[in-house]
Amino acid sequence: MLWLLVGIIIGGGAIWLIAKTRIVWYQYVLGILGVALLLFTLQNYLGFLAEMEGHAAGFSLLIMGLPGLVLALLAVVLPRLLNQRKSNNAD
Amino acid sequence: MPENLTRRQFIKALGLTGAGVTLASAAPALAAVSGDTRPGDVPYRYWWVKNVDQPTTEIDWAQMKRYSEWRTTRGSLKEYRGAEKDASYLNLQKENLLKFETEQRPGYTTKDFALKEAVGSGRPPFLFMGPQTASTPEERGVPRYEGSPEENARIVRVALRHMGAGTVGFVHLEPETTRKLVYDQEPSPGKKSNVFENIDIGYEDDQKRVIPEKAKYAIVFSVQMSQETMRYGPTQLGSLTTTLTYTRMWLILTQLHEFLRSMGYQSFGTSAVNGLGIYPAFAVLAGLGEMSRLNRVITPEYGPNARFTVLLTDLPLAPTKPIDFGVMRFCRDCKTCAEFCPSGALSMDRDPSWEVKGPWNNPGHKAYFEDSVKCRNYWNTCGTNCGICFAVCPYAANDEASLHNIVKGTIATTPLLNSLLVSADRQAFPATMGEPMKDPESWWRNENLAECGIDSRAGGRNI
Repeated sequence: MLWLLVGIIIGGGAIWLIAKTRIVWYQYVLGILGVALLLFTLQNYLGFLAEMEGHAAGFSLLIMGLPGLVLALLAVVLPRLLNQRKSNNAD
Repeated sequence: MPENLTRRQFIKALGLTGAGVTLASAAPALAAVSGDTRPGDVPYRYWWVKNVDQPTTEIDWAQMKRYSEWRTTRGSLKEYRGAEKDASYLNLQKENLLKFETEQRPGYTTKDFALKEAVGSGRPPFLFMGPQTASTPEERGVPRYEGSPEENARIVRVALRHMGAGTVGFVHLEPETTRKLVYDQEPSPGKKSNVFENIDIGYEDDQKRVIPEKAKYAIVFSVQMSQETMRYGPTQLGSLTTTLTYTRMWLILTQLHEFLRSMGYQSFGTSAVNGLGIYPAFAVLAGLGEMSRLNRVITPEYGPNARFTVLLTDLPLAPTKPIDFGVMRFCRDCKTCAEFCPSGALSMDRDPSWEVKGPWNNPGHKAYFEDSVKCRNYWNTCGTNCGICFAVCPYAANDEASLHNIVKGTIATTPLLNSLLVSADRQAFPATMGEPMKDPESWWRNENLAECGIDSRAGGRNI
């Protein structure tokens, strides 16, 4: 059930993003990689907790979750930064 | 920015939604099983477990002789370390256990002692041919069960799983090879000989246990140990992991005797702890695991946290093949167990050797032989059977987190990343020399523990 909800949220988010913004190719690459890594982190985090391995759960957040978050954020932030740079150059 | 969705955008988004749902759902399935049973397989294995014709432990059958269980440190420790030293260690153990319980040291508190005592109770007696109380087909007036060796193997496997066994494999006894793994003599104090004779019905007298030549089918099975409680070794809480497993194993073994009898067949098992034969060797040949630096078996399903036993029968059974999932290669690069062994008993050599460390080892195979006396001395010092080497092993992990299977799959495929994976394991599962990996008191606060501390679906099984 958890994974169905996660899938619906991700899918819904993707529909909203595509509908509301113009997405360039590298956003797809960064976004898909970031979301995949975050999903992998979530599964492992919950898995380690089920194994009663709290330290390993935290470790998984650090080594997989953080890079995943950075990639996902880059997908959102990078076009804005590039646009800002373009407008600065134009000025 | 578009105000409304175009058809193209809708389809694109729909695809992404599907991909999202699929990806999210697929995450737990990364730990998927390899599929249907192939002939000679132990069924429902991960894809990274490969069947091989020869085990990853080299064996020189010509050099190997039948061994006697009482020559291990279980039976001859006093001889190996001398009577005076032996008495001194036994006294130390007694003193330390009293001291630790009086101090109510975590893991040695009265409740830990009590639980260990409790889970060791209720064991059925060891009997060479089982209790022989189940009715036979003859007594019921029907013919005995008959089936092909493959069908018989499946039925025994299903029955054993229902009784609580883990993985199940089969070995054929051959006089010049595998039969040498049956102990020459049973443990002390009986030291009865195990003899094979060309007779129809097996029997036992004051001197020997006689196994018919036709009982050449060895049923080898594992019983899963609690991954969790093992992490609390070296304490009474850690120690009761094996105590509970032996209790369960003996009950299963007794039930298996009766199952075979009730099908119309004979069975011959141990009459003492680890008494019938060299179980780790049988487990390797049956494909239940590989030998390791621990000089114990590591399994794909439970890592080192499994106990094994063997029953011989005249019910024809199709043999299973040995496996290779990279353990012996991995142990060359990983010395975690040896580095964290408080007694320094485990081998630090990079490669396994033909040279034994003492008469407690049986020559004839290439292994990471251990100094068993050092190990036992530490058992007496900490008062329990330690278990640190099992607890810190990178394979000692349940498979809820999919990362475990990716790591194990990587190890089975290439040794190139072994060192990196060992470092990562030590960061994720930190250990301190001579200390439990977790606080034993924290275990007593968890009221939602798994039954018997095990996950009976571990190992990628769909049952």
